Amino acid sequence: MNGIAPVSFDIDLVIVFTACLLMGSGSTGAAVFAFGQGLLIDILSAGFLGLFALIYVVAFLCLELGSRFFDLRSAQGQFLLVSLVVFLKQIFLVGLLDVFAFEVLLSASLFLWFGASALSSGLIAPVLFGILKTLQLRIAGETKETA
Amino acid sequence: MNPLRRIRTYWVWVVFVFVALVLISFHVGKRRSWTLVEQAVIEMTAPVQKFIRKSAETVESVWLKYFSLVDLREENARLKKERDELRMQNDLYRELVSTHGRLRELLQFKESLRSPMVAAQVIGRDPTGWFESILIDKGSQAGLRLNMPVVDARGVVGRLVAVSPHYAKVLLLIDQNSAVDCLVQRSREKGILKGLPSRLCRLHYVSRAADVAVGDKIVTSGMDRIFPKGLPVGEVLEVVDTPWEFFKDVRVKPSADFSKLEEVLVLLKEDPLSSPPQRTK
Repeated sequence: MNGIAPVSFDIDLVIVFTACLLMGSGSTGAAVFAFGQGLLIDILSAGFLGLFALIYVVAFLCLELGSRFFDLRSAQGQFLLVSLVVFLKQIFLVGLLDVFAFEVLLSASLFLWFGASALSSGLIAPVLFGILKTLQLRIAGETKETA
Repeated sequence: MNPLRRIRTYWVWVVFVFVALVLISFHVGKRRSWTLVEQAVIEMTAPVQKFIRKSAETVESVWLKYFSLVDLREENARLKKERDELRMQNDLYRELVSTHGRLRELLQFKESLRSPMVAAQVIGRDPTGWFESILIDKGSQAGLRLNMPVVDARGVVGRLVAVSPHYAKVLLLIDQNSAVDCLVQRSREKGILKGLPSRLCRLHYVSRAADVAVGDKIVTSGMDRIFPKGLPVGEVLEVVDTPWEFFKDVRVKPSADFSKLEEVLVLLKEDPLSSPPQRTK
């Protein structure tokens, strides 16, 4: 069998930034960002156009629905929601690849990679949220001063 | 949340999912280059990627040059380059000897070793981690066209699958979607080389009666009209002969080191799909 598997684990910054935008700018901005980043990844990757666009739009929906149960203003909520969505996104990706006739090599180590990726993305989420919030406040403060 | 806002959010989501599904339905299973819009996006984003890569390389270079053994590193780099050049020459000569010995009495055989080529730097890799491709900093303005073969000092790297004016995407040999017509240099047994995870390849459709052994060199056959004949591809790592299978399971370690790709050469060959096959007399 000629299967595929991820080369290495990654920290999914697209989902983290989508969550930030969802909290800060609203759902339309977050959806546009997720879709646009997915399209950009499709253009740069050897996969087919629309694959990651679909995946990140579905991830956005999961973030939108999940934000009702997890408080995105707290670090705990950010960590839990981002980790869960990243893990679900990986599972969805495997399912899509299987549907489109890519043979994915399923193994215990694959799910360990997914778990590590989800955990890392979740851990970095509160940090990035904090940085973006600080930047937002600073920009808002500077805008007030100039006004 | 305001119910109207919730409805709007879901409609936004539905529209994006619909657009993504339409894109997928048009592009799945089809070989395509970048459209004009995609080329414009690549022309805008690739310089950023290039800058980031250059910055990372500069930091790495400063670290290695001033905090490690300076002379030893330079000598090592010089010797590696010399070794790679000699290795490439050796592979070419070995293939020439093999071919010449076989066809000397039967055919008039002309082979041009020197094809026009363009050197390009690797400025980015596949961002998904599931596929294997690279982005290089040469495009159609440098003479690159779709399906041109890409090699480095060690052997075949892949082929061009998308080209914009200044950049191009290379589908690597180790990608599942890649398929290269190859043969075993020693026994001339044919097969199709496809990518596997963990940067290995498998030689498909090798019959159970075929003469293939561990250590055999694999070279391109030229039959796909994309890769010139005789380019080194890899070495046989493992041969498994299962009684109930039609074909042998031949694992191949590629010659090129895909974890350290920095510069590649693009052979300026015409796209085989745009020109009719030449008939042999």
